[in-house]
Amino acid sequence: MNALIPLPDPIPVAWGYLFAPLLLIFPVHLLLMNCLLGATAVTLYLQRRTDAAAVQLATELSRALPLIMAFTVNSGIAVLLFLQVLYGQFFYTSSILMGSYWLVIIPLLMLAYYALYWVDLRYRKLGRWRHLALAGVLALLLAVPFLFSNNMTLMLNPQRWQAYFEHDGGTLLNLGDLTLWPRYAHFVTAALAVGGLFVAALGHCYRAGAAELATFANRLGMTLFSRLTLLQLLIGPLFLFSLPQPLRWQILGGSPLAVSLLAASLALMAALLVSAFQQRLVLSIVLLLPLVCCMVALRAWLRSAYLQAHFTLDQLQVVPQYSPLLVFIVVLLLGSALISWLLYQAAAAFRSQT
Amino acid sequence: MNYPVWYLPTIGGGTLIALIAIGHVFVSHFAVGGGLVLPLLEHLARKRDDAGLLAFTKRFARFFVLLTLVYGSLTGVGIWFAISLVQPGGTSLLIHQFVFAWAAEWVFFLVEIVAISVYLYGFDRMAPAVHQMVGWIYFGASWCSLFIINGIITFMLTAGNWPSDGSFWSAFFNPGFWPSLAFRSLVAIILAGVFALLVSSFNKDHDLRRRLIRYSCGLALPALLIAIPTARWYLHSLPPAASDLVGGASPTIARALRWGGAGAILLPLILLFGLWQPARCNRALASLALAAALLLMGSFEWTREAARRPFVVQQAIYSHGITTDQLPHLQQQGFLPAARWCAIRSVMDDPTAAGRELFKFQCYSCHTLDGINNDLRQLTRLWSQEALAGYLGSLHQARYFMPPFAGNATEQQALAAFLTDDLFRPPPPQTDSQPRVKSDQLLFEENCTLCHTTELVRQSTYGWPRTRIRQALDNLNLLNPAMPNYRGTPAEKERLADYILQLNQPDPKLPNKGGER
Repeated sequence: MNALIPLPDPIPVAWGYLFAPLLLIFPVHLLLMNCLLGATAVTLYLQRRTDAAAVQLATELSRALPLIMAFTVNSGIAVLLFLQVLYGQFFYTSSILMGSYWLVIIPLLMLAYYALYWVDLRYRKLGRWRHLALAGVLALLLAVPFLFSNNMTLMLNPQRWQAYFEHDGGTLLNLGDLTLWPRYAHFVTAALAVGGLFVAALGHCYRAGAAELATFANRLGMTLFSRLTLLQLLIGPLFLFSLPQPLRWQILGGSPLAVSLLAASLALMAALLVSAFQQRLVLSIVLLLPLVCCMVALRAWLRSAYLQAHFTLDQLQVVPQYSPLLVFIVVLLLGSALISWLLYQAAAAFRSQT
Repeated sequence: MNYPVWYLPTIGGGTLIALIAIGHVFVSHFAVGGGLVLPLLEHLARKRDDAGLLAFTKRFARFFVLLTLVYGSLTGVGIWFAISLVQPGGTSLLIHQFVFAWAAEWVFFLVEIVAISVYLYGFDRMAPAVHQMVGWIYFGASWCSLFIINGIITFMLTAGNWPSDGSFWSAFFNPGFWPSLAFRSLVAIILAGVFALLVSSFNKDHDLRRRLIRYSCGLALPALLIAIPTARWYLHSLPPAASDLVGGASPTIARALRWGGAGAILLPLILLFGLWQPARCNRALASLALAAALLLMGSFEWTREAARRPFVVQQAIYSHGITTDQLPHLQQQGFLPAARWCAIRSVMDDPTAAGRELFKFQCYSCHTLDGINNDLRQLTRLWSQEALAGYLGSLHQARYFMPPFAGNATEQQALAAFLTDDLFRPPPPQTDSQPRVKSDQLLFEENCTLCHTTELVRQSTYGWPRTRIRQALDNLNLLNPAMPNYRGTPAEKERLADYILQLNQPDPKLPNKGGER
């Protein structure tokens, strides 16, 4: 047990009730983040094109981006909440060690968010500024997951925390960690690929009214998705082999759960590659969803394996208070009903317009 | 002491939180009140078939989204990030205690995002009744967010029965909950009116602008008037110690209330003028109203935060992150050997490094070193090491809003040596049979020179007979509500009175350090 690891606070319900929402919401956040990053990159690329379909697609994408940003931030809040409840003693510590960088995430996100609204609301008037604004947003959106990767790897390595005694100004990054760059590359490549799939899906929505746009978006998006997913066959193993040997061995055979998750992920990946190269959009989406869930579960397993020597979730003290959980479930159901009604009304209104 | 400290001695963590929080609370309350204004304006516009008013409502909705959805929501996350960096122990307690309240608030925030996006993008596309319903759903969700956050914020100041029963519901529906909810709901309406006034003042249609200014002032002014009794209600819900701080015992709060008072006078005057002469209520005046509202809101939040001292969470965690349970052990056994993240374990290993660590873990949460905000080097520059070490031992008794020093006598001395930039001198050994007698000068330094220069005390007591000085020492807070009463023995008061009297003699004995401040 590392003496620097803070004592955790007690939790109000058994840890499974907190772990389940973390596992359920994180894939949603991941997919939204991927759509945001990937679609921003595609919108930037489209600025070089002058054909009508490309211009129209870029306009539609720029309209969607601020909304995706809003939901990405919102889903990220829930993920961070449950992560803090379960792993707060690790997460707060690593955040403090890199505090100066960690807090910078807020102005970076704010700049990106405002720039996206700027592009959306002033699309035509911006002219060449659009390139600059979108390039800036892309750079900001690439910086944020890099900082997240640093924090998420630093929290798993308490042995690196000793560096605090030399640098207490919150300027530590986890650059010495072998897994950092492959992990970041794995996430960014996945984000760009899923962004491609989102572009194809957006185009699919316009297939009735704008067939040319739909065809263009499908071709561009699926090409991006298939090629970048293929690239993951290189980056994925690189990430796997950058892991500490005991963990790598567990994933490759030592832990039945990890092996099952890896096998399921690989099988889904293979099917996804076939469907992507065949440009089958709906099947690709259907296969992507369980793949992301498997990856998230494998990631959660990896986190607990990293921390095994220091902490397991069943060590958290439970001081039971279940009534707030029930209230949350009621609020969640009510909120889901309201959101469904709102989306239904919005879809009806937009359908009647077109 | 459970967590490391993100140490930026010249900036201070509190400054960072304040920078983010002031803007956030202002905009987040507008995010609730604005949600009421949007469907109301739309309803009015459609009822009167007023195309100009409807167009304004749409523009206001766009302004509202850009301000609240981007700046408001990200600064909200920013506060969360900042407090977890500066007060990780307190943040962890709030997150663990209220995890499902936060989760429910997240659901309402999601409903808000969906509703306001549908409202904005569906403005000319949806049936009017449905569109207005969407606006009302947004308002309902945003008020529910306020309801939840209000429970958590008030818990920090008025924890109620939670310290004894540990119940979520005692913590959430604490004594400050309802008055604060009423007050904040009214503040949300005031801010919506003030923002509407500002946006209206940019309208080019003179007739519409006049009407809009009337609506805006007509909304904000009654809310402001009703807010006054709810503020008093809130004040009555405070624990006695916090109430004393607000009543004048804290100079910081007194200063904040003066600024808030200026806003409280200015704002209704502008709103009244807007109702009386809407045509002459221009952009400058509307901006001034916004500034006055910011002063009012900033003063309220500053006061609330400052009144919470010396705790982050009442009766549970002190401002320096040490819990009330940990304190007795640390005062007996010492802080350095017990602190998880201290670089040094004993003062004797390196007194200067120990002093720095003690500052970092016990003072830095509120003070800076050579910084702009609450600079401790500046505050203690007139002190001798002995006087400061003695003062640290009775910090909380002398000034309630300061948390007790959580360490032993040697650590007090090391911190005092560090702050006075002096060579560490071990404290003289204490024996129960023969308590140490402090010199007159040390008594004076420990009790007077934190706030006053020797010269100021000399001038203030010029011409006073000894009896008057002695009487004043019995009731210092009658001289100034911010002055803590002297808690020493009657014999010490006699010696202190003699010492102050001789300051105005031709050849006074002055403290080692001293000067103008």
